[in-house]
Amino acid sequence: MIVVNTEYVAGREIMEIKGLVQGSTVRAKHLGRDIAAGVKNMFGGELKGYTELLVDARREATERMISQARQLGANAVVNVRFATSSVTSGAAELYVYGTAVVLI
Amino acid sequence: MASEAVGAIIQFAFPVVMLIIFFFIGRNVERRHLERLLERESALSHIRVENIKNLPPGWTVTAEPLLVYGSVVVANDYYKVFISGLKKIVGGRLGEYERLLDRGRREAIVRMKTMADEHGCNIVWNMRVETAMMQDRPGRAASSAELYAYGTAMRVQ
Repeated sequence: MIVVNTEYVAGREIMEIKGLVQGSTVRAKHLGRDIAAGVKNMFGGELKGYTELLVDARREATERMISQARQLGANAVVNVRFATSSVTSGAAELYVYGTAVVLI
Repeated sequence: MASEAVGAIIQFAFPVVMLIIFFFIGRNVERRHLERLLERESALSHIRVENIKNLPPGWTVTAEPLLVYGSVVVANDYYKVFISGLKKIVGGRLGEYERLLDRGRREAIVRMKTMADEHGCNIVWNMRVETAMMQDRPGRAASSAELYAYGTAMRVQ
């Protein structure tokens, strides 16, 4: 499965557009990470626990999008966009969407 | 009387000592990060990053394109949060946050380029950067932010 955020895939042609596919996940950080990040917050710098959490969550959302595209019989997802929103305190929604296409 | 005075001194001195300690820690963290960033940026300077969509005519892609990304959650230290809190009274530029977001953005782009490099790509096209706030408590301004960079990595000749 080719996943890109450009509108087409260089060197390939889009034969068929299968439609919009999307994946999302809402993740919360657990208390231990929250406390560790709170301490780290005083020192400044990277909050690794949160970075990992968001990267994992985004990967999961992308997996969901890809499995949707696979169900539609597509072999690529083009024009992929990411969005993040915080719904409630300490939790974030990661949302990814794109267009499933068949490439030749 | 004496114990009250000592208590007052401790109450007043504690935050001041904390500010002094975190001023040096924070400055050190920032300087080290900037040094590391410069090192990695020059090591990855062979990877070209653009935010345009189309490849120039005549370029041929030799490998499958790949979505690459880099993400980092950054936060300011105790001293910088305190100082920018004071600055908010008069308004104006908050240099502490400007530098924080700038460092975070550069870090995210470096991580994205590292991922492209690991997969043998030499360009990243259609790069986009996003910023998300991590809310600590409802109604309170978020003190940490996520910077996220993504794009399409390819190998071209």
